[in-house]
Amino acid sequence: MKVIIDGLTCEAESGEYLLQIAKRNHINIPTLCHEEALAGLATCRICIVEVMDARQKAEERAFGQLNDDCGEKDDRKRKIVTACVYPVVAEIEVLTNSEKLRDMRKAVLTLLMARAPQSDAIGMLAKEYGVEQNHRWSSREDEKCILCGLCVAACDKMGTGAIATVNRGTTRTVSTPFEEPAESCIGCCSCASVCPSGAIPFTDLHGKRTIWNKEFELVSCSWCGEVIGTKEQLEYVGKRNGPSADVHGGEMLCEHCRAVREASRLKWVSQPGRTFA
Amino acid sequence: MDITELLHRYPAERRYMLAVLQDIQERYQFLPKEALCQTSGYFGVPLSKLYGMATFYKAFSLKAKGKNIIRVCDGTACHIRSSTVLLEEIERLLHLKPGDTSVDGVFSLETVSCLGSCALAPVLVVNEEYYGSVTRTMVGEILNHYGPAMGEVPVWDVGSAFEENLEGNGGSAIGDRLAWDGGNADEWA
Repeated sequence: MKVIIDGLTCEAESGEYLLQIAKRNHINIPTLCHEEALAGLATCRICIVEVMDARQKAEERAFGQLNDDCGEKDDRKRKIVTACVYPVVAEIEVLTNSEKLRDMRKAVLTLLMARAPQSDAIGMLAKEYGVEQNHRWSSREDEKCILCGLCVAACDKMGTGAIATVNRGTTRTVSTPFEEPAESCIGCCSCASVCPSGAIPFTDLHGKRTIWNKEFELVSCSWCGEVIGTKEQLEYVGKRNGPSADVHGGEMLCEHCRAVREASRLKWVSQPGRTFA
Repeated sequence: MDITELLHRYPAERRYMLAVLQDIQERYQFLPKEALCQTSGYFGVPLSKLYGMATFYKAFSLKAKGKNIIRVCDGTACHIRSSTVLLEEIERLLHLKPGDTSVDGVFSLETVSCLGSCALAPVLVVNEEYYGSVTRTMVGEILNHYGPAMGEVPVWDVGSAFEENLEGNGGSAIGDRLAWDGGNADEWA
């Protein structure tokens, strides 16, 4: 089916999410809490867009208000939806950057900034939208987390489920059970790597990783010395997926070196004149 | 009845988790860590999710509670009718702040948002027993029902400098004037 985004006609499957369609067609919709590999959360509210279906469009046209330059505009016909979880099931027209949307995003960013004044990602977006830091709703000065829930989703996806949102209301936060080092945490850093505002601190020092107050032993590539992961992480993955291919003759290789090794092996077997014994 | 028995009263399906937590809370007056771990194992749900659940609902406590739980209503009606005075009196007698448990494990103090009996404001509940129109003087008397076993000397001093000021006005703020200065009693002594 056809979806018109900002005047550009795009092809879409029924049930596809708006954000995917826009991304595929190189239309930029700002996001904070979205990660390709995880289901949309719609918690950050930055990816809001305006949606109009055929009937609403016909109505707007009938009232002669489709043109942007006709003074008094009645855009009540358009729905505001979060692009990351809005499935397209009919031919619609979408606006991703109207004045109304920019105003709404400004309001959202003002609140996000008040919540997490230390977050660089939000700071950058705020600059882009011309939002000033508003001290009327100040939260903790050192806060970076916007409670989007991406880290929790990533940890669940790993199958570890070591973190969750705890408490309620103003005291809500992301934490391990009882604020103690979690037994199920494998130190994979999935949470920290998906966090849009860098709110989850971890350190990799002297072959040790510390995250969520738990210490892990780091495993490095036997060839190039690049960090592959933590010991617990590799054991966990091994348990889930069977013996891993990168354990080869006692060698632990990173993805890159593994590719190099495979390539050299292929070269070796594909040399002219070699026969397979 | 131990935790295993509590658990096995329900099928191991996620939708029964909340009911199980409620049962554990009822049985122990709080959610012991060990119980949460067992529940997590029984339902095959990460401990973190249960911890999130337990911290979300006010009905659950992760700290051990006293034998008797005092709940002082601090809903709008009770607040206007000086529920804070009751809290101060309890603090004076038992040295407990909301959320605390006494050292001897006899009392725990909590505030609740509304008990739905606003006509009786201010309301105080001990365990399952409701007390309405509570005044400062009544607090000590009520607590004496629950404290030490009969025949022992009560440990709380019920005597109060303002008994005559406070009697029989249903605890309303208009009568005892203590609500206005945040209950700073010494001024009126």
